[in-house]
Amino acid sequence: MNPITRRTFLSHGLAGIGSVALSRLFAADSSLAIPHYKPKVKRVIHLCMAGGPSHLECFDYKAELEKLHGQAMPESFTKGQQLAQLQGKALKCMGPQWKFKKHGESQMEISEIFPHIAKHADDIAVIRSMHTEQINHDPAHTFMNTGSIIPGRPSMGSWVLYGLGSESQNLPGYVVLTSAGGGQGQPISSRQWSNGFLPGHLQGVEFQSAGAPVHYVQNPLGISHASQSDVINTINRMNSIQSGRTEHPDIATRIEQYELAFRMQTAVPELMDTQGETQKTLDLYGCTPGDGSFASNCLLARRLAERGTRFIQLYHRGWDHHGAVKKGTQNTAQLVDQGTSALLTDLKQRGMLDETLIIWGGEFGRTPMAQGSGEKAGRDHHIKAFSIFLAGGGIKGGTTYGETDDLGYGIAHNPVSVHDLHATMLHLLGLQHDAHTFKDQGLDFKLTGVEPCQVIKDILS
Amino acid sequence: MSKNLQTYLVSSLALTSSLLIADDEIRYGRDIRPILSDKCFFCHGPDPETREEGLRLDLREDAIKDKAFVPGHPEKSALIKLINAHDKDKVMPPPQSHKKLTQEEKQLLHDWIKAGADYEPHWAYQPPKQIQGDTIDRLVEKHLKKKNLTHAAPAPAHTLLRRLHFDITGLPPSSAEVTAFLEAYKNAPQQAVKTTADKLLASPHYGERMAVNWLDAVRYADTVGYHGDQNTEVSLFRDYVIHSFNKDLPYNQFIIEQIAGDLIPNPTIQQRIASSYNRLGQMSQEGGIQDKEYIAKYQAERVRTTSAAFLGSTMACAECHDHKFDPFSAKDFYSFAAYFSDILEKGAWTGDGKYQEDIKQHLKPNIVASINSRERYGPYLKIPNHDVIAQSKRIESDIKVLQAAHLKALPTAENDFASWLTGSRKKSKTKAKPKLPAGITQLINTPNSEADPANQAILFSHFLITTQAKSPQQKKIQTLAAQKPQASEEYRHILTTLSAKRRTVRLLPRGDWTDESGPIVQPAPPEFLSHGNNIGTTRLDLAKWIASEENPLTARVFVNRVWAQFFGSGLSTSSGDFGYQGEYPSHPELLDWLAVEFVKNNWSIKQLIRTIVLSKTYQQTSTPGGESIQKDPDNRLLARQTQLRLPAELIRDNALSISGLLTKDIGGPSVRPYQPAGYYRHLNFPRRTYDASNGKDQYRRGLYTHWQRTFLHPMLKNFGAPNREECATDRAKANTPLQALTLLNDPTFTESARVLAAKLVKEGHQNIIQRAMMACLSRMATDEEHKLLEKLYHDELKRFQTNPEATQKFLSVGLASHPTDIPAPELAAAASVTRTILNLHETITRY
Repeated sequence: MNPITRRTFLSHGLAGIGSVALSRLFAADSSLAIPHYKPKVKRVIHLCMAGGPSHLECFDYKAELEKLHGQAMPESFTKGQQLAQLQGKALKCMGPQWKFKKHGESQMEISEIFPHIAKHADDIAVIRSMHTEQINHDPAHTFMNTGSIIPGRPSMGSWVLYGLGSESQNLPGYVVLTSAGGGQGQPISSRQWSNGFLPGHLQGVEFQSAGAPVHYVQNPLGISHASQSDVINTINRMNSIQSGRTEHPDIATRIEQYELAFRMQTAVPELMDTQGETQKTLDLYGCTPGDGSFASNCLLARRLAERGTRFIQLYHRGWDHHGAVKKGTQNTAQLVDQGTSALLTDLKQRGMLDETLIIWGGEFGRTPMAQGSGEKAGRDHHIKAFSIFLAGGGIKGGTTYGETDDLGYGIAHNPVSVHDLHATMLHLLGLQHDAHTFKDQGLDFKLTGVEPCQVIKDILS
Repeated sequence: MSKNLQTYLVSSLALTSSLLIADDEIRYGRDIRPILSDKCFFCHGPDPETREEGLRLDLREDAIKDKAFVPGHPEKSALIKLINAHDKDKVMPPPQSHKKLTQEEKQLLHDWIKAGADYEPHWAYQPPKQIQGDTIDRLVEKHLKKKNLTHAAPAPAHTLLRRLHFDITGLPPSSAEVTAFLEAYKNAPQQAVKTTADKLLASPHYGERMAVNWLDAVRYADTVGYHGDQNTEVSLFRDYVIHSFNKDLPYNQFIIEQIAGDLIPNPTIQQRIASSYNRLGQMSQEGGIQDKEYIAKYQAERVRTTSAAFLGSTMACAECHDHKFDPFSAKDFYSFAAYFSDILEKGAWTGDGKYQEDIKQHLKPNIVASINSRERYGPYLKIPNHDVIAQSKRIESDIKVLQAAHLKALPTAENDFASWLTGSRKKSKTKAKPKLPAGITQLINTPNSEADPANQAILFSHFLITTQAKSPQQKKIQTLAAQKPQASEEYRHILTTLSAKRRTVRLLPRGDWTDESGPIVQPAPPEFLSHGNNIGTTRLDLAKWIASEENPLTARVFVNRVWAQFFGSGLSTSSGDFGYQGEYPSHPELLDWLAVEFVKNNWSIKQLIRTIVLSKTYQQTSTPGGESIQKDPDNRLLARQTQLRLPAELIRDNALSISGLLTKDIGGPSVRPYQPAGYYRHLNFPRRTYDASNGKDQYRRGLYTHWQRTFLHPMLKNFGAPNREECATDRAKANTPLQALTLLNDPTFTESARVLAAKLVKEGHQNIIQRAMMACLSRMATDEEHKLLEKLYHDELKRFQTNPEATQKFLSVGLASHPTDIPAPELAAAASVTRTILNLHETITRY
């Protein structure tokens, strides 16, 4: 906070509501707001494919697995390994359920269920060698988001906001949107966007797809804009008088927060109002804006990005295909494919892709072994290997990084841990992961934990 | 802007840690160890796995032997040379550690070695000492004097009264209480404070206020937290906590009952309820999870919570490795966990999970395994709700009398019943059969079931309750039936702790539950704290060891937290970590003095609070004078009181209390305040809808709110209440626009404003603004303030007069009715004024 601005502010009473931008919303007096080195990107859009997409149907084709389809899974792979719902069951191989084709100059192999994403083969970097530590949804998401399995740690969005602050004057710096469909909708906890022990203004704010987009953002029933404005104005004048008496900086911040709240009451509806979008743009996304679909959320993500939101997280709950993985992955892919592709195209056309990091992926992968049989055959949770992709500023498009073994079970080359992914993300934002720490209860915490990890240099341009 | 505020803003930017240093001799614990611990111990500390060059600096003998330094000779000391080295490869700490020593820290290390490099044992692990004749004020003054500061003037009387109210009961004083106190304070200030404090400590609302912080520490919540976040039943525990504070249960006993109440010989029901502490952690019934993995998660969580809540120790790190900073070893972690291995439970609360012993052998009429198909986290203790049962019986017998009267009064009564029954039987065979309770359907489907008089009575009751009333008696019966509690309300359940066969507990290498190579461990307390003494192996033994006056941490940790409730932060600000990385107390002698005093007074919390609030230090004004804010921006020296934003729950309680809406009942099942629609839409297994509580349950205090771990009520969340997945000993004090939006637009606050406005207008049309200010702030408005509010009133009045529809909408927010004998625009304009006052920083701040 700038003391001079504040002094001007208090001595002149309130200039009209909304006229003075005093500080950044949800950004932080307490955030560091200094990158360690020149950042490649300004913001992150995390397209979280919740439930665990099957890498074997999406980005990691395995010919050998196809050959062994229906046969017993070689015990050399699975002995002593942790299983989820397949515990104690006979383990049979299940070949990839979809064909893969080569795309772009890079000849990247992508499943036929992603006709739209495939068009961006030369823009994206697929990592086929992700692995994680947690085999069930809730802790696996927690690990992906916070780098720890102990609940209560800050999410990566909060860490980023803590480091860089927000660029938005009127909107939260960390926004979460959700959609569902195409498979079993696993619950998702607000823990996933919690600020943990970081200051409260760094928390993710979830926008609702129905009703008021943000809790309490609408005036009380019957209260007009003018009325609300008068009330806030009076509150702030009274607070300003009290500030002169009690001399505490909290009250100055409180005044500022009421101004920001009022601006947010206008900015949020403006954000959600997509009337200004051209038909061409709407066709690109292929959705009715505001219908709560993933594609509609992708459009909102672009609008948030334009307005300075630093970290945008889109959850699509629908990838938990324990049964009917063939039909299921196709269904869910249909719900996310065009939206993802549209977002990449749209950002690129506006010259924003270069300053954005896109992360597309789930909390884990799925077993090469079948769960159930016939058409109903699905795949169980799998933590030894899974695929994600990155795109945007600093990312070497057309890269396929890492390799799984012949059956897509374990990792053969270049394993990438969740902490490596975090380190890479922070790196692109100009933050050095092992220097980006916060002290809580006497200990220095960081997103990337205590085990060594590294930036994945090979996927960077 | 005032000069002080500017000074504050500027000086806050500067490092203030030097405040407590450099005024007298260097002390290892205060000045040196924090530096070594933060910058050096990671590689040169207790954990052998990460130790570099075999050098450890945490032990003096070892450090000297390894030539780290030569006492008295900084110039000959390797440590001093290395921290001042310019060579990147030589300098300590190494650049890749991202740790840097400041010039001031280097100087301190130099001076300390020069003075002989004395070590001292860690303050928190030594028994606390008390010097006869000391008092809170004297010990605070001692530090103030060094900085040439003095205590500030006493707070204005109305401020002091509000402070006492918010701190002790969490509810504001009424206007009458303010008037009475001002009068009494004028004549005999200290006596007035004492009388008020005693009155507040005797109030049943004291326990509610104290419970807020305690429930954070013991991670009390109404749902399991993991995955589907299903409901649990533990509200009786919350009530136990409230009642224990109210009856001033000695703190040592309070600890024992929670950790091991079930193991006390012939435990009372309350002691058994207390031991549900062990069942408050998160649980999971996610499909596909493994029993062992989750047992490992639950045992680790119990160690984290128990060590942090009672001992102010962060044992969490020792799950995977020996602690980097504190003397806790991984073995300590698992030995501690072993104390809880007797608790009858499952890891996976799915079909796959198994109890360590057949639960059937433990079941009794009052011990059940499940409540319904989702709530099957048994054993549950089933406790009759005597009031509810009595009420049900009363209503049933009243209905019987009325039924007889109905038969008498209405000659056609029997025929009506007979034709209803015939009609119902016919309808039940059609497609459009009416939905009836299962028992009734069965009786209707069974021909001639009414031949049995008992069946007939059931059918007849149902007929009278569900058909149109034909007599006054029947009408009354219907009213009574609506008031009859549900059968499910006749009992309250609580997850309970039962001691069963111990599970085997192994040291898990790197915390990996799949690795069974580690040794089996036996229950034991952390070795360095128990000095290797055998304290016994049961949970009761552990509880008694924690609650013992010989334990150097227990009393200190608790008095520090109580202090934080009355001053905003503890004497050590790291309320959950009294280890080497924790903050050295601003007033170590005072912390010790309070701890000793507390134990001497038989661990009486009420007595501790009385001692605190009667001190000059507590009663000071919170408005900083010039000197004190310059020299001490963070108020660590206590030359003034602290201005504190009220905790989340109290912000709600305050608004409800001022408006008169507050339901003052103590305890009971959790309730559901208004909540934005669709907030639970991500919950699954099962899907959840949220039905806001009706009637007086809508207006309970914040601490009774249904605590959904994964989606905590947004009002509580926005004001920093923790989701209680883990132990929390301190709340975030953020100041965000979401808070402003909540106070402005949450229906609870809009409704409170209107109900308050209606009350004020009904009492008279004059002086509404002043009476509103008095009700909300215990003071009158100044002229300037009055003008602002008056203008708002008139502007709003005009608006509401021209828009009756909007006015009605505004007045209809919430469940409470509003009077119709007040002109609507006038009521709405008054409500805009009260709404404004309820939003003021002053209203949600304790000064």
